[in-house]
Amino acid sequence: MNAHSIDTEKITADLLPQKFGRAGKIWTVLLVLICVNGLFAYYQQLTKGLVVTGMRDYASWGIYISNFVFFVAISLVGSLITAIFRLTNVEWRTPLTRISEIIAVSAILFASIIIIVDMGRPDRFYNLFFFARLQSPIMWDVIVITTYLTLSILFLYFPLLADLPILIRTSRKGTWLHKMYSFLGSGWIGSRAQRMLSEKAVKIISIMIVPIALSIHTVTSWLFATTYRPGWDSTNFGAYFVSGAFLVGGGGVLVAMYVFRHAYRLEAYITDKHFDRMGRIVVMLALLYLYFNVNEYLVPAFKMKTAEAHHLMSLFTGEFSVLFWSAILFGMIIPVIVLLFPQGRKPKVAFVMGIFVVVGAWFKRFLIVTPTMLSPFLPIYDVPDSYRHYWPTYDEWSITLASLAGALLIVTLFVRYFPIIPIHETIEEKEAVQSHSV
Amino acid sequence: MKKIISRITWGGLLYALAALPLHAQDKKEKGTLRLEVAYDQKNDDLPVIRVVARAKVKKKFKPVAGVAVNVFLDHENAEGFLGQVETRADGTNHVPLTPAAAKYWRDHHHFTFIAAVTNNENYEDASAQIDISKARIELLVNEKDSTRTLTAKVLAHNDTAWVPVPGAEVKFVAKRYFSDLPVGGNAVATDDQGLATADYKLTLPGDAEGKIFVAAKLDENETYGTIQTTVPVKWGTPVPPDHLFAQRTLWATRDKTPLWLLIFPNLIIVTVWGFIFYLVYLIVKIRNLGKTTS
Repeated sequence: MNAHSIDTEKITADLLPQKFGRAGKIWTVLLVLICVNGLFAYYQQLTKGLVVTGMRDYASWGIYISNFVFFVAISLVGSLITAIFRLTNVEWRTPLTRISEIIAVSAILFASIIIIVDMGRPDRFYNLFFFARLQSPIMWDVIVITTYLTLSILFLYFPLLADLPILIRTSRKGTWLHKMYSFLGSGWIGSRAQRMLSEKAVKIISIMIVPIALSIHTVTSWLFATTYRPGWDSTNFGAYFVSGAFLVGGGGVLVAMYVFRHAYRLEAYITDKHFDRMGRIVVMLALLYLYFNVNEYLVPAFKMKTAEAHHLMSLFTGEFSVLFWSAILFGMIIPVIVLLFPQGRKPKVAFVMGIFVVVGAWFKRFLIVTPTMLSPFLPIYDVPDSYRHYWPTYDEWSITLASLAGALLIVTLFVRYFPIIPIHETIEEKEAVQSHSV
Repeated sequence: MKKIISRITWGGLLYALAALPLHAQDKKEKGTLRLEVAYDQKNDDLPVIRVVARAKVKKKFKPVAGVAVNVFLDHENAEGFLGQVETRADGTNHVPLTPAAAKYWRDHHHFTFIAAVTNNENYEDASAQIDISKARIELLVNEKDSTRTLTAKVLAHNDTAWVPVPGAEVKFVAKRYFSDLPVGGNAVATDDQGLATADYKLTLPGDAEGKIFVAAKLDENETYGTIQTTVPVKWGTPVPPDHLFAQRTLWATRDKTPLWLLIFPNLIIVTVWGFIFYLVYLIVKIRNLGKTTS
């Protein structure tokens, strides 16, 4: 009994949010500076217009939209780890659920922000709601993003309820932190009735969030697939996008697992076993995404229709070829080969492979969006040379990097004030294992 | 020492070789440009002046884009300057008359239009001119006993009055989207009265009332340029307009959303958000339970 209570206290102490160390402070300041720089660039864009970007008549979707697709993609990890693993009763999921859920919330939040950044007249954003046309896939995207964001926040909140009394107890009374914990967790006493309601809510969300998550990325893919253009005119796009989204989500979790384990010394909770299992999942997802890539590129390339040829050749051997083959190689093939071996699924190597997957996925989104815009069915004709190519400007890079930094800042601040591994659930699990072994 | 001299010699040689094409480029010969100037006038409106630039490429004259052409009326000086245009990808472009030139055109009956290219980087100076006498076409349409005829009367101004032009080749056409459809075969020469007649035997789709446009034109006539007169006639087959935009379609306005698109997505939205509100209700219930128990 004594050993049991010591164990509980140790788990609580291990998993409670900790103040930033030196590295944490530098990291946070760096993210804030990138955000401020991005805000200034956005101010420039607001005052001077979209002319400050590299986008012109043909490449009217650039890195803002590819960044949007990336955010939507990585947000799917919330449904993969939290919901699908919960429904399929994957017992090792507990330390990864909150990590994946906060990634999902921050990513989907910035997906909705970056889409406004891409608008030439953001002051008219409200028109989307007041004059909504249900015929437009853009409207479908607005609806599913809002729904997914709300559900993801609820999915983060319900499992957090059981940890809030611990946070209230361990924080200093009178501080703003204590007040915030008290507000969020007021009323939770862990009674049987409350636990039943909470479990019921989690079960409802787990079931609901899977189709919503699938539809959010399918609808995003339809923004492209419902447009008659080379490279987008595909019936396969929904499945292609969803498989890619699960892959980048898996890669993102591998990276986050390693960073949190290393920064907060969570080796006892995020173990080699977790890296091993997540590594296997990433292999499966990468192979699946590779399969869809073969379908998306090999089949049109086999036919090489005149209208598609310019787009395909720009990817295979043209101006985007280095980026294209790098994204395929580093974002899919190398992670599959490395993670296939047990040594490749060790934390450090898996972390590097996770970075490969995430960075490769970001550029892959760019390759889906922009080369198509530069390969219209009607030839580009009688336009300035700058219209024929696209390269993001300094302002565009600043805003895009700020959005990525903003998403990371949300994750960073969340980890600062909330336990990144569920404390109560971990204790319950340990108790269950102990009682089972006894 | 020998080594150094050898290196300097080789270096110099390589530099000379590398520089050779640059010098060759400096002395590049300018190409020869062939300019054409044409006069287009429709329905007694002000004419526009069309210029065409061609250059010899592989023994063939091909249209040249991006050549700045100056266009003048009667005098190749500032007074007669109509404007400068840059040729497009098909080697052509148009110049409208300036207000002063328009007044001059109304008051006079014989003109010379001049197109000139000077100080071009790639081409030698070139010019072309066209002498035009003012003319017009009156187009009469006639329908009698299901026989439809078009009669054109070509008139030219002889400085005192409009007089008929005999022997002018008139083309009769029906206006379609992308080109003119000939009516009654080849061009018809005008008689001593300046009249030319053609039978209309086409069956063409028109608008809701069967309206189409027919025209008579002198096509690049040496004396009068290109002159055209167009009139509407109800000789087409009436085609009811397509009112798909006014129906419930995917491309209609928001108030005409297809019913299936209104019903099913809204059912899904209401169901999903119903559950979300239920989840919020559960939060409130959990809070209330805690407060009651404590």
